[in-house]
Amino acid sequence: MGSGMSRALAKMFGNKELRILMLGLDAAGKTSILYKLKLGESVQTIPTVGFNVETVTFKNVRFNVWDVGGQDKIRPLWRHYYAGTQGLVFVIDSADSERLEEARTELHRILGDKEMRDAVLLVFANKQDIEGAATPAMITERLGLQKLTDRQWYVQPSCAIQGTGLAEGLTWLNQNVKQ
Amino acid sequence: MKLHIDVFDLTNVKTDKARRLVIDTEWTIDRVRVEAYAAALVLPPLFDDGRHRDQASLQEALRHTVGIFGIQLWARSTPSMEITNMQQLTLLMDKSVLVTFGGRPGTQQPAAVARQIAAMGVNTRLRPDGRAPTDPVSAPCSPVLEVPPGPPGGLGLAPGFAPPPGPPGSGFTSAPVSPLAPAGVGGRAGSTAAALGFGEPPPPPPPAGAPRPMAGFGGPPPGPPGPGFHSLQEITNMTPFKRGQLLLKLRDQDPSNKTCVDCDTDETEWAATSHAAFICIHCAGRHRQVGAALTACRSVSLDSWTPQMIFLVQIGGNGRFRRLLDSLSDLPRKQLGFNQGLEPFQERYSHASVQQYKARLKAELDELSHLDGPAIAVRFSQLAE
Repeated sequence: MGSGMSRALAKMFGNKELRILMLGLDAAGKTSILYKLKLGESVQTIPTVGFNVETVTFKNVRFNVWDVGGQDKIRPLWRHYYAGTQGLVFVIDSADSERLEEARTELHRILGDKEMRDAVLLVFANKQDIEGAATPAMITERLGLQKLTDRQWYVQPSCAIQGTGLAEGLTWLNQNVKQ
Repeated sequence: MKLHIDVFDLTNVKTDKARRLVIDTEWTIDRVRVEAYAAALVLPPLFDDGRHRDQASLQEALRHTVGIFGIQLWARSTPSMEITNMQQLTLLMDKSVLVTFGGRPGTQQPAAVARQIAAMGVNTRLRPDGRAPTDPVSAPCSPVLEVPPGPPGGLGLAPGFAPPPGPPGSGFTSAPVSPLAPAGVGGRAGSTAAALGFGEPPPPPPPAGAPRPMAGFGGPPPGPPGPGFHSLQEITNMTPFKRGQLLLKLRDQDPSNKTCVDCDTDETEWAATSHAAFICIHCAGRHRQVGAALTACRSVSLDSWTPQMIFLVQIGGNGRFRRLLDSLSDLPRKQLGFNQGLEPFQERYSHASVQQYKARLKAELDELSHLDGPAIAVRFSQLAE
């Protein structure tokens, strides 16, 4: 009941809260994106061992963003973060074309989990500042996103260092997450 | 499956190092997740947040979680805890629990907690300063927790997923425990680990003076090639677990592999697989920023390695790479402090000779990968001439 009340209040005052899970291969830029969003500055990151969680407020919406390490032996732990996720942010290193296939496999494994059934999918085609980075269209194709018929998805080009594309991504999430 | 607890006493570690060991103490977790329940069973006085009706439901949660694989947990100090500066509690992949203390120097709590846990009948070791483990706090006793294994094969684990071959510390947290990793590969620490039932005992390390072919840019130095080259086929045929052990052995038998090739800290839980050189987690961060086109890096314990990557460590390694770096007069900075920013890293890894070295390693891999162990040794020494 308490939570129903707070939800009603939140609705009234436009204080929406979204639970966002950010995944992707190691070195894709998840932590850089998280802290660029949180602090507005580009931070020096080290590989994430475990996870980071931050609340980012953007246009009156509170995004609870969980950023989980992507080393391949700890990927089996990702599924422990699925429950309650409203939006999946999948981060791609667009400049690392050799590992797009691996990213595709991981992404489809996540989407196949029944706990992720209702989550919308935002793909950050990150590291667009690097010469030769794959375009959003190429990423869409290499990840096989066209096949996703029963899910809202969007590929947003981004650069975590400069912060380009991040606000657009959050806006899309806000508009498309099912409440 | 048995449960073990390692208590790391980091209270007297230098602040700078402690900061690296404990990645971030300012995180707070406002949700108690299933992982916490797992911890709650192990350390009920510290973690029982009152959400569970009874011990049995806690235990149920633990079985569910630990039966699958270890979970990392970040715990926040709360007033209800007797231990006020506990910063991290990790349930490792090999079903061990790691408790780390850090921050305030001079507390006597780590030892007290270790005793407390031991009194609960769980195998416990205290590791002062996060280094070599001391003897078990109490004589190894039969563990109270027998955790059922997870559903067989139902988890879609990557083929490379195997319990880390080192001591529990080398498993999940890389920064906090890396100083320990070598300890589990042989000698006393290994036997302690074996006594406590951490998997099978690791093989003894090679004799201290074992020659190991290392080379500068031009290849290995002339002289009798070191024994023990594994052919790529051999490595490929190993189980993932054995392969992980081989990787640790290759790293630990050569002292030059024990200091980061970039910043010289004595922590090499990561590696630039592109250059077959071991680095620390901070430099791994720089490598990732430099970009996938120039370098690639992986965690020794959190990533799985292909047979080719391990093979490359055999013919590369920090010593060889360092000799190349030292020979480059137009690359003046030999040590890149991890707080120096990105620029020196970019300079180093975009240097033509360093890029050539990377290509050369790859060419050597291609050539040597068809040979058997002794033939590799011979050919490898020919390459030097």
